[in-house]
Amino acid sequence: MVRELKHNLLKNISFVLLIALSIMIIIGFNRSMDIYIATANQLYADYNVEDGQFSIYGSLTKKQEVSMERRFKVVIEENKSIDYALDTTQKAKKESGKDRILRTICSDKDINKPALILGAQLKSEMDVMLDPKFAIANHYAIGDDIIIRDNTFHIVGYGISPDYVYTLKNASDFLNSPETFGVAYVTEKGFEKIDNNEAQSTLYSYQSQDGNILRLKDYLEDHTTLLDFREKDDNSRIKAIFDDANGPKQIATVMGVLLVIIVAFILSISIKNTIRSESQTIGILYAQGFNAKELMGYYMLLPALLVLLGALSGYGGGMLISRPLILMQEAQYSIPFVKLIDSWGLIAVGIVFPMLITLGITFSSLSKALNKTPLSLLHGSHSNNNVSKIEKFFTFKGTNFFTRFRLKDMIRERGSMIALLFGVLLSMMILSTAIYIKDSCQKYVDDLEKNVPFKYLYTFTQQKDLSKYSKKGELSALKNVKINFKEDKKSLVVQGIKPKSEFFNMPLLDELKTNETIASPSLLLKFNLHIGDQLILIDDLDNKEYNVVIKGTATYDYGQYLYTNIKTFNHIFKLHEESYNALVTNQSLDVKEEKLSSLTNKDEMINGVTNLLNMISVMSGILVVVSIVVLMIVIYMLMQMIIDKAKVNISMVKIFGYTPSEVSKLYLRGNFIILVIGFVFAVPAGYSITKGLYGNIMANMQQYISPYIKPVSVLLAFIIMTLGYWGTCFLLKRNLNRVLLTEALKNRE
Amino acid sequence: MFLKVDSLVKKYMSGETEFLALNDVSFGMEKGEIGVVLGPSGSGKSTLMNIVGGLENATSGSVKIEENEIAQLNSKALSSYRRSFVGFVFQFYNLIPNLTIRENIEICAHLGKEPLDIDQLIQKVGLEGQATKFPSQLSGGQQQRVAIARALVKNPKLLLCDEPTGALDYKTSKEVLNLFEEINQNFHTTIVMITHNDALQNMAHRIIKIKDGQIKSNKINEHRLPAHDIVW
Repeated sequence: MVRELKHNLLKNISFVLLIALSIMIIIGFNRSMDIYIATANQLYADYNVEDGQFSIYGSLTKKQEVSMERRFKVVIEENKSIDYALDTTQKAKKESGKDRILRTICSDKDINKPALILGAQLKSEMDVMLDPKFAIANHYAIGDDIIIRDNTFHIVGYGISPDYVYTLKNASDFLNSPETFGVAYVTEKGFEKIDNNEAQSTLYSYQSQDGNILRLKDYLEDHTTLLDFREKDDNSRIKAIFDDANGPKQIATVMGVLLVIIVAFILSISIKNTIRSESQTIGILYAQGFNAKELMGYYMLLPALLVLLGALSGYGGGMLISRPLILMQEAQYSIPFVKLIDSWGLIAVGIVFPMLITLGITFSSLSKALNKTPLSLLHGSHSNNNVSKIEKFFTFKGTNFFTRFRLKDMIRERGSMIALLFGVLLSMMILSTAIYIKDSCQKYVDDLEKNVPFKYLYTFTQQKDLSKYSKKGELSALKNVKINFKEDKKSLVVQGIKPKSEFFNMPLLDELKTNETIASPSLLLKFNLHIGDQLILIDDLDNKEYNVVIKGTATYDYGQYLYTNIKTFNHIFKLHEESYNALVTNQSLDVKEEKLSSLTNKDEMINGVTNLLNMISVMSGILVVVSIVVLMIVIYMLMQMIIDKAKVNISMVKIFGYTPSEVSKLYLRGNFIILVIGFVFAVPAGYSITKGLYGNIMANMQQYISPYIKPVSVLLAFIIMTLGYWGTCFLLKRNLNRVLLTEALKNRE
Repeated sequence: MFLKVDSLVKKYMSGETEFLALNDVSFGMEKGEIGVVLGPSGSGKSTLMNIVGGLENATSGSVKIEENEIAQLNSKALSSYRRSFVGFVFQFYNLIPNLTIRENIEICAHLGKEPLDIDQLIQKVGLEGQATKFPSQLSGGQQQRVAIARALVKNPKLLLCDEPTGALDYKTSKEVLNLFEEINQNFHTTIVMITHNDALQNMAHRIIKIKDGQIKSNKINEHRLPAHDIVW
């Protein structure tokens, strides 16, 4: 067996490498994402994450709270917080030049308890715990002081509560921006020092004991002015960590599994070829008295060893790469600990699964081959001259000899060619997905400048607060609604725009009639919508539904938006003709945070996506390398097997006088067309995978990055693929040249 | 002399042991002769064929084909020599199974500067109407005819045959030998046959006997028999 291992060393290493790579991808992504999911679940359990939150105008009385808790079997707790623009004299603002909002939260609560990440717990009223991402981005160390509303607080530690694991300013925001928004925790007494008691609305968190939230919501709608009601599954701050984990995990698992299946297929072809070439030896052993079981054991040993080696290496590699993957996630989320888990499931996937698949297929191939009589095996090497019906059918008349030879050889080795096609397709899918992911994100960043026609979009909780600022921009109206999509409700925003808008240049807007809207391109793409589609918009707060129709595509794209003119907007939502609640402006306004229900800041968006792009570029680069390695290994393994099988014929043509380049033409030419076919199918496949991946990650965000690939990237991908192919051909040509003339001369008595 | 072998020596290393496969072999052949090289297993006849056929180099000595020295050529030059001068016929045909008869011959047609017409050649070797068949659909004798046609199509000056009837029954062997005779008569191709079947010497113009790497005798056959009269 050692001799066999050494004899086909490069081929055996290739097997091990491919298995290792596929298991590494499966284990790496699954482990890191599972760790994150387990960590989040543990954090949410330990620190009592909310089941949801709601905000109302004004506040509930104590009596109301107690009554609601009893009636609806919930625990309700006020979520006290205040947003404060950090003083311009404080350090990091001078350096960054950006506004920084610090949301200071009262830590004395049972729901969403803050977890300590580093440092010490809050003790005195002037202690503060900062969220670590904000602290690091703004150079706040433990031990420093920070001034919040003219009060000097002492930073005793870094911490986070479960409802801010993904520290977004608004629960429906897309990306965090630690430089410009963070959270801090103070004691109740400390909070009293900074609370200006000017809040017009109150935010509550709840935990449900029986899961029946609708009655609570109905009650709030009837008895309060409900501003927002959001279950935790709608809250990106809580949910994003799961969405972020599931998408890549699923894709990595599917790709890894497909790769294992392709390797198993290649292994079975290799086994068949080995049996064929050693059929005489097997026949002799049978004749001498060996039985099938003994031979099976012998022939299974090497594949078993290779697969085990590959699986163990892959498992180890997966454990290794899970670390940087965990760190990548850590860059996005604030978590106090990482719960390392290793499940039997992962061991089953990483080691047992590839063993079962590959050895199962090997056993099946061997059984068929060893089932023959000793005599037929003895004649084996000469009886491989049979020609199948499909080979007889394809004559390729009219083609030149070399082309015909190559095509006939490809038909004869159709099993290997099919494996090659699937291997190429898979590796090219990985390549195109890598490029799609990066180009899409890059385009999103590049287009933000033109896609966001303003610097700020302020949405006020009350129209009366808006009037003070009406001359500083253009009045607008926004409403958060939902639509049903795949048995789930997804959020979007409807925006009403004034006629002859200074900010929005969409002539179609003014022509829209009753219930007509135009949709942002990302909205259409995310929910597979088309012009002419009718939508039912659901207002969860008011329990109402509205019918609209999509009449066109918007020229702007800064979220999941339906645009219409203000007249149609107010008509749809049965509001006063001149009803506005938002201001589009290029100036930064001095507005108290509690008066706003949301703020879209163009610079923050660009900043957030740029950070994401940096991370994605690294991931994309890794995937490109993986794809080329897979491509080269698959081509090498399969073509080398074909060369090994055709050694006698190759030797013969060399004896006839064929030059090395002519021999290459006979045996290597023509594979490039398979790569081209694989590439052609892989590009749209990459689009679909990216669409699915971004759809998964942004499922609950009011944002969507449309899959996009630059034409020059397609060309670049093609060049990378071609270079990988040429590199492999160089090795294969070398192996072709090494086929000795004496191979054909071995058939002598 | 068309083929002149002079003081040919071939040594192989087997581990640390040196093995002398050919020991000072010298002989010559005229153009258009049929030469039979006879010898038992391990006598060196296959090694001799390999060197004359340009499949390997000699350790020392000279092999000239029409005054072209080939014994010490590099692999590229040997390939060129085989392409232009030599056709091979082996014991086990070595046809490519997924190519038709015509295509198996065509594979060598590309190598000749003035190749023979494939269809005429197919007719000449007695396989008319079989051109679109595959090797597995033919008998052993028919496959050997294809191998012969393949070797001839590039119109080689020298045809080297290594045990050409070794895998065939008596009747088929006689048919193949008849074919060699016809080829020799029609194309004036110099044919060298390596065999351990003594009977074949009767059809040869020249008989070369080799044993233990040395030429034991090299003589003209004064009493040639037609192939169909040979018995064994």
